[in-house]
Amino acid sequence: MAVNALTNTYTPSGHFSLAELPVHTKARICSLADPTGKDLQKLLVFGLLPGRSVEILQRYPAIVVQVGRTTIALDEQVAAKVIVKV
Amino acid sequence: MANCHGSSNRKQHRHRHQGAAKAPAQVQFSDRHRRLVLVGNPNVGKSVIFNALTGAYVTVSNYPGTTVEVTHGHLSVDNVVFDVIDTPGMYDLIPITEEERVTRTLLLNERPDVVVHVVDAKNLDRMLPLTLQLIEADLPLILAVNMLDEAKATGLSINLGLLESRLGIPVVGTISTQNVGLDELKQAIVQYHRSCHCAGGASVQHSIYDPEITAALNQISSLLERDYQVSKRTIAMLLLAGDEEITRQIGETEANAAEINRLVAQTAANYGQPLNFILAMQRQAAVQAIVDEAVSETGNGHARWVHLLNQATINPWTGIPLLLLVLYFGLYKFVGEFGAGTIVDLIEANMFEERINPWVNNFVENLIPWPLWQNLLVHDYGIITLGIRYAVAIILPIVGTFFLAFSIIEDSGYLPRIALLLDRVFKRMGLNGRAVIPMTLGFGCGTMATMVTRTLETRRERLLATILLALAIPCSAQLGVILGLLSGAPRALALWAVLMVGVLLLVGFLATKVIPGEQPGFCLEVPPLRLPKLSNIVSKTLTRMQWYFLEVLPLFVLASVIIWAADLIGLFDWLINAITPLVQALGLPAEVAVAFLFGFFRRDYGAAGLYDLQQAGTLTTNQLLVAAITLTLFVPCIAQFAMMWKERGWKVAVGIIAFVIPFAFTVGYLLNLILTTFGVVL
Ligand SMILES: Nc1nc2c(ncn2[C@@H]2O[C@H](COP(=O)(O)OP(=O)(O)OP(=O)(O)O)[C@@H](O)[C@H]2O)c(=O)[nH]1
Repeated sequence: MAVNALTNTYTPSGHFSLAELPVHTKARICSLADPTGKDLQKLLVFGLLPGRSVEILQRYPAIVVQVGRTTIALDEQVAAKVIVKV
Repeated sequence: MANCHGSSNRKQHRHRHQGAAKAPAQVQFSDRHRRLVLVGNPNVGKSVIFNALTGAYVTVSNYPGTTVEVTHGHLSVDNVVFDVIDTPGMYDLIPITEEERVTRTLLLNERPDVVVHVVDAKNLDRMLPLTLQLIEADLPLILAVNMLDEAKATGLSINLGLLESRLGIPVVGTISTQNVGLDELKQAIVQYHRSCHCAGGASVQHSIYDPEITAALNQISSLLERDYQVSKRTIAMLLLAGDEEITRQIGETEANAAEINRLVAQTAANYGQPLNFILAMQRQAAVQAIVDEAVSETGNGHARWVHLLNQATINPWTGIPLLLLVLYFGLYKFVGEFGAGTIVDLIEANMFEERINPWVNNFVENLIPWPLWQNLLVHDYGIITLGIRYAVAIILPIVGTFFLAFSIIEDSGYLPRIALLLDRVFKRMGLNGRAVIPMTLGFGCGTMATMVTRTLETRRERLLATILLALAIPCSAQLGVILGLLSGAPRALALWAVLMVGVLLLVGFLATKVIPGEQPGFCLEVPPLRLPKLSNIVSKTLTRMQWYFLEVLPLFVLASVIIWAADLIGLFDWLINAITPLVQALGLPAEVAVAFLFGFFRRDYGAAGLYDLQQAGTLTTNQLLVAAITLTLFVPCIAQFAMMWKERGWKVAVGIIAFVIPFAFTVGYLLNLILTTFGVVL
């Protein structure tokens, strides 16, 4: 499972992409990697912006996160662009 | 008085608008009426508000030059009549999909008299950045804060008065599903026009961006020489954000384009990150300041069972079985058995066969003495006995039940959940979860679904979806008839289903290899599950049925006429003779050729023809299966072909046909070969 593989690199103070976090983790978005193109536009309109808190609700078949009162489903490609701090 | 749109002002605008060398396409507004445009994110309640404002008489038309639907209706308050337009949902002035582009074009070019921005009260922080953009554009804006009930249930309390004073535009709170606040909204709409709202909207827009961006916006605005239907500041903002369409347009029309581009580049160079990101962040910060003041949390009142149900729909272990249940009851039981079975039997057998057909045959025979002309109207291929009968008795009940089921699923917020569950499957076919909407709609009507591929982001996705819709997604009419055909032979039905899914995945997989291109990421909002609202469902279903019927009935009539004419000059026999060997190569009786030929006019038409043959007992189960498979894969109906042509261009449309026809026959041939070689009797 992806999550187990990740626990090796998992340190509470580190920076991760949203795609790497295990379920039920709460984190704060610090930046958006490679902020160009349409994927960025999507992150912006769904409110996945630096400064916001997110919680991972589910990882499979798609990553589901809670941001404020919005639930958002995203795939690994998009989630990888969201850099968070746990 | 930036926000004033007095009537004299308006006339000038319209005049200029028409005089412009390259006038953009216009929606067919009636000139006597004022124009009211509803905008907002998807799923915030625009349709419900639209229905409440306009009542029953609604027309759906395509936006000029596109196939994106725009819904029109009329609102009259205190003797003032408004043309009301419901627009495709949009998130931002910078569009992601074609649909959003249409909404933007409408806002930027049409000079509406009032714009109502509908937002979801639960998510003001996410919705208000668009409000700021609309204020910036100097549009005559009213903010409708909808779903106040849900906001309250999740423990939010919103100070609407404060919001109004901060934004400087009229703000109305609504719960559209309970008819709360709609009268106030109507009043705000009429009064907006009469009294010309000139509050402090101007002040908020000057405090959105940091000094450097503000300076750049001012400089660019002053360099823009042409007249725009929205503020120059908005044009400047879009230029800074790197909007391709506007940048191109400015490059072609503005004398100072070079200087403007230089300013944009210079500003961009001063920030480490792309400007559209910087702009969005600054708008977000401005919104956050307003929301922090206007919204307070009074605890979290989420019901436990709602949460659990929500979990169950997105967790794969419970979600997939639930999805299968929904498909089984929604599609198989309701559309297949009830729509295509019970209702079709009722209308087709009890009404047409027993009453209408004999009566009409008789009537026409007495009225018109010449058999030639009688055949145009009645008998085997007549307009009434074939065309109208198929359209009304067989097809309408099936698509009607499908659209009803689809509207319920749509309105309950379930579609995005299907999208997230199936995202990985769609990825195999070069699509992503978003494609769930056109693909499921394809089970209703492939023509409509081909049109809806507009909601996909890239050309490649739109192309892939169009191919799959043409080939492997049977429309509800076809599906209904095929379920009916094969219902007596469960094994054949299962084999049919397995083969269709296999073909879908295989062709999808191969197509992604053949058609290169990037795959856009999947990111979708999952709205809360809601109890569907009856009036919303009824109106959505009726609108779709109306669209379908208007599109379909003329084609059935036309098909009858063509068949009649072709029969008359012998072309029909010639064609049937020509495809008979093909049909026989599939191990099918020659009569099936007729059904296949009809199938070109509509796929369902062909399937319905098979139905007649099966009723007469001319086909074995093996033959039925081969025929059903071939026909399902076969050419999309004429209407879908026309839509493919319109949406993707003639080369693509013809190319798809050139692939689909041989493919369908090859699969049919191989299937028959395998069945006969191994002596399988189903
Ligand atoms: N609880 C609650 N539900 C609402 C309210 N307004 C709309 N809804 C529900 O929200 C869902 C979406 O409403 P629509 O009117 O279809 O939303 P829309 O903005 O037109 O969405 P698109 O058609 O996707 O652009 C439906 O299930 C409505 O019944 C409201 O004030 N309160």
